Amino acid sequence: MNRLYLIASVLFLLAVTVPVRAATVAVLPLLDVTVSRNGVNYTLTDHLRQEVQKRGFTLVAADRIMAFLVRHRIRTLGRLDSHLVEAAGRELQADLLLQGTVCQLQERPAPAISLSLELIRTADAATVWANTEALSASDLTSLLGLGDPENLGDLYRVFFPRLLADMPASVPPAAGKSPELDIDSVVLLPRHVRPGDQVSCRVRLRDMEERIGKLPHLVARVGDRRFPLALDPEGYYLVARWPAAGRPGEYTVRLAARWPSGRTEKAVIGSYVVDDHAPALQLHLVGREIDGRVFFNDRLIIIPTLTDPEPVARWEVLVINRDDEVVVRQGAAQRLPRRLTWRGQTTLGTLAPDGEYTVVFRIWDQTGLSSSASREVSFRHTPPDITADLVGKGKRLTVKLDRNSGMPLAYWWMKVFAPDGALLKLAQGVRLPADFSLDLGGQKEGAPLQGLLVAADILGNRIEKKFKDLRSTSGESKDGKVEMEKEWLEEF
Amino acid sequence: MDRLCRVWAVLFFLLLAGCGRHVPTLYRFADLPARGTCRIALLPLVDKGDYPRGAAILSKVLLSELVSSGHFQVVQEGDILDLYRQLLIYPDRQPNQEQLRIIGGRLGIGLFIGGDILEMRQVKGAIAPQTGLTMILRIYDGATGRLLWTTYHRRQGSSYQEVLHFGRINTITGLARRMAHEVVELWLGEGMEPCTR
Repeated sequence: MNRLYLIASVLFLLAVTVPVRAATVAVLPLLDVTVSRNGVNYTLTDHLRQEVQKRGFTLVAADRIMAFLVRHRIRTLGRLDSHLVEAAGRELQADLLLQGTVCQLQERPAPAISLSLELIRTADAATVWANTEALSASDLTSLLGLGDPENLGDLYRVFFPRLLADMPASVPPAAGKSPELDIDSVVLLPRHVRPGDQVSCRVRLRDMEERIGKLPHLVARVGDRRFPLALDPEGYYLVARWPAAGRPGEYTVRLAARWPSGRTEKAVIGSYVVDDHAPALQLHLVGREIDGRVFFNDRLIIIPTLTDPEPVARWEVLVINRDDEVVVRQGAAQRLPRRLTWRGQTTLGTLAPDGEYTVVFRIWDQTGLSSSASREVSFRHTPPDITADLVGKGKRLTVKLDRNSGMPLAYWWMKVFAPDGALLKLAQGVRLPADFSLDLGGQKEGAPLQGLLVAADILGNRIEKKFKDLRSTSGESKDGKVEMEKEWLEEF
Repeated sequence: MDRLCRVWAVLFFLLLAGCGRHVPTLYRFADLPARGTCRIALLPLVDKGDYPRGAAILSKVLLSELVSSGHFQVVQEGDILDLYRQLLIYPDRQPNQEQLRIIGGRLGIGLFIGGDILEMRQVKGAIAPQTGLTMILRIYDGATGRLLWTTYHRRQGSSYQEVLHFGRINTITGLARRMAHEVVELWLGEGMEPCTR
């Protein structure tokens, strides 16, 4: 019994007197975002290494760390994934990994530095400590300006002790890593399927080639259905294929793994949509609606809407004339346009003639199912055709206005001028035919009567006609355009 | 005398208003899950400001605040970016709800924290640098990808100035750290459940 006590005492003394092994830290080169997205700052890394060493940690040699970074082709520092952290632990025999980012670093006008550090336990890739410290020379300005920092070197003396003040001196024990599947990539295709279409799932685990024979039994679970994954002939992916269910909806795919040890893990790896019907489409045409029919003269707004929105693979719009000829064809992939404008031009660039057209809008969803909607539209861009006749003799004449065809008028007005430019009559209205009388009391008989006629239909098609002499039908200007006055008028 | 009292009352009210806390603004869209908020993933932030690498800086600051609060396990940024690569998500884009659900399921995440930087600046001032930061941080459910909370915070370095130049924050990182700390404190105060030790 005494001997037992003696042995226990010796063991206790040994335990107390043998120094605890200092944790080994791999200080990775610091990411310097002040330089670029992938910048590296070796000067500050060296400062940091010295400061960490002062706190009693054992450091992994810088050249070994560099060899590790090269071996694993690590191009961006400051954001290692768990597998690389664990690999660093194994290959560098490091308990902890210290990675950091230089957030700010400037010498002028006022020296400033800020650094963010993360201490990661390599056993379970858990961040056990992190700190961000920022210091500017302006922060240390004293009232009398005595001993104020003048350069970054002065700042470092204050900065690093602050940055590492609460860095743990020992490694906290690992809390046990949460189970997760070691998935390198998942390819689940297609994203949208019709009922019965084949869905393919390809999964690759990390370091799969090295683990052939020791791989877990993987099953893809979709609802109640299970589909085991098998190694493909190339040995690169674990693959499963199955027919999509008949009921439309979104199906989540879960991966269940059973390891030879009996341990099981699950993870959501993606989803797909089963779609059995074409998207319902509505077509709205914005123009002037008369008796339930849409008319336009300048631009027609075409607005397609999905009553039950879903992703669209492509769309197409057609404008078809009465002879079943396609005068406009336009389409694009993916996103449905909010609105389209048709200015009455054909695909060849010429202006389409007045007439009746059918606008057809067609869409295809991601599974290839299509639906379409169509609306009739009338295109009228010809201005109103109006004739003016002068009837009567002597001093009493009547002007008769009429229109041959076209849309209902919005307004018309006509001015008749004497040869000396005096206004004889101004008549206006909204309907044709119409007539108005002229009283030529003070005018010389047979003198020419100039006229100006302006009219517009309800679509906005406008005509302006100038008559050199109303008495003569050939008195109309050749182009019917109004010549604007070029001289200043005192009264207008 | 009455008038004097009234003037003093107004001055006192103004004084109180001036001393009021400028806390971040929290909007709740849904309750946080009762359990499982311990393991947190910090999504790459969307940078709408023009400060060089502002998102990377704020992301690091936020991570260190979450870790140093001692209440959360923060998933490695590299693991998140690895899944972004697998799901073909650009690092400067916000994943959709389905993608969040997949990431959450794969990494066993309780909550996602993402957000936008609306403005981030540090310019030379007459006496000291002038700093300003406006950000929106969002909390998503790790299991469903649903948006739960949104927090808006806007401050300037001079907002913290007390007497003379004391208290003023002269670096954008320092300001980001202070604001991130205020947001994390607010979340914890509003019922965000920390890890059980």
